[in-house]
Amino acid sequence: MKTVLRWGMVYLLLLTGLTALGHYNQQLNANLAALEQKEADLQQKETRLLLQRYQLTAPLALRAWAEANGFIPMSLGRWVRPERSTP
Amino acid sequence: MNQLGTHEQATLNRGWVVLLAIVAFMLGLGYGFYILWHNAPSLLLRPPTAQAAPAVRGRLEAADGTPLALSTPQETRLYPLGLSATQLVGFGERSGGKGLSGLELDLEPLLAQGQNLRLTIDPQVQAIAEQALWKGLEAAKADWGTAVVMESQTGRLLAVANGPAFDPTAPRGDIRKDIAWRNHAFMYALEPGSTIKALTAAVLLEENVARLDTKVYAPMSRRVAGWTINDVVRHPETLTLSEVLKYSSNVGITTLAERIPPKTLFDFFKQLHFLDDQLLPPLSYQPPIAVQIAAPQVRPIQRWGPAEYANATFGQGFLITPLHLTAAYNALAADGVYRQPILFEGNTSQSKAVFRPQVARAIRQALTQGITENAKLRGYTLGGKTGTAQVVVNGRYSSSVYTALFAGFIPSDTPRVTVVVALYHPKGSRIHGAQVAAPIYREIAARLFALWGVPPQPQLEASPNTSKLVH
Repeated sequence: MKTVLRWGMVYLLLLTGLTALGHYNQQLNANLAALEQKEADLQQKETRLLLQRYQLTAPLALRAWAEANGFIPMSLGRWVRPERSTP
Repeated sequence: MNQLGTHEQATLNRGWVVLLAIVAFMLGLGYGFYILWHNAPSLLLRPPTAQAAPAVRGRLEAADGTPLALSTPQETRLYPLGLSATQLVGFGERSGGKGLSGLELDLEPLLAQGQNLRLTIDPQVQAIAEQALWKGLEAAKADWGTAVVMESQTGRLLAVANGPAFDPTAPRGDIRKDIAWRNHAFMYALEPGSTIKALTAAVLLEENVARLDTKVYAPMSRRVAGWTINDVVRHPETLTLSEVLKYSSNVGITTLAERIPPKTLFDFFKQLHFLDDQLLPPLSYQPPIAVQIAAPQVRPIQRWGPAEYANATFGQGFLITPLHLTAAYNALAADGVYRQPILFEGNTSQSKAVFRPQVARAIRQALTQGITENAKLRGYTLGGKTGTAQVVVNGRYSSSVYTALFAGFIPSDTPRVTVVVALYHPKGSRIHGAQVAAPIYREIAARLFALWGVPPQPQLEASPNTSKLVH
């Protein structure tokens, strides 16, 4: 009987250890999944920002901005000669 | 203990059973630990099961390294310049990215292997050409248009603009009806119309059968082999060759072209690669990988009668792409040397002298003096030729569908680039090349001079300026 109890104790002890390790692993897994999700979100955000950066600084966008703000190509602009006051 | 020894037998059996149970228990426990270790979330403990990642689809880059198309590690295809150069670059399948049009299709074998390719396209010049083209296209109410800018001394294509604008990321409609996705500059062969007159004139000069001041009797119409050839712009009855180009006289050019046999012009067409559908150098011979260009359609010389020859001298009766026309005009810009156009950095342009330098310069001079008002830019030397070509619809020349063209140099005295603008089916009262294509060329020139930092020359100004800031 004593032998059965001893082995039973050993069994329970190992089972508890196994359960604890499994629980720990599950926690780590959940943590890792959350990190991977965050990484994917950040990668998406990085892609979006990269695209936004290129589109905001693309020559077409800059030209449209310059035109909207009244900039004139040097080849088309003409300045009046400074007027001199009459003596 | 009895005589049969059953006690010993029973003890022995129990010991084995317990041992077996312990072994089974240890195995089960070991398996449990093994599974836990194997599925452990820690990256260091995890066995290296992940295979080598497949190559990300290759990038297409502009000459300065600006990406035109790139893939993220998640296989998302991005077109960073938005609407710029989208018809040239093309597009692919939404999932997987396999090329369906443009360079994405033509270069599929290279891009799929992860190879990056650098084009000769300059994003600034491309944007300039697109901005001018889209604006002009809207004003002319044309179906579509294209503008090609080629560096005169090297043959590098700096811009291949197409309109209307095409967004490769937008939902796609019926690609047979909505052709905004097509790279018209490479994929549409059209009749170049009167722009060819400058090349015919160059052939006449090269063959020493005419000079710029050679006079020709040119009424407003004449008959050739039963067909009537008409002029559009009113002009004096006698014209010099320079004036034939200025007034774009069909009668004048066909009359002068009778001084050479048709085969001579045909041979020059061959030297200018008008019969060549492999205009750009291939990227690989085995397997063959090259950018697709629409095949030109030029009758064989055996089928050139007097009417066909007369038509050919002013750019009707044969089909070439705007790219063919640009490369041919560039021979005039490069002092008579034909340079093969190139689209990829590292490719070398084959070149061959077609005209004598003085012939090319004389034609440029004539095109500068006779340039249409809408193409002039104060303070700069510009030159080029307009064209308004009739279009065959249902087997007959249409009376309403035209292609408006302008081919010219920027600047025209020492050209840095050659520009060709083509608009298909402009509508309304303004349909001629001089009215709708020339202003686009002028816009491109104005912005290119600003980009290059070339100020206007006061001696070329038409009138002294006394007003405020004007443009």
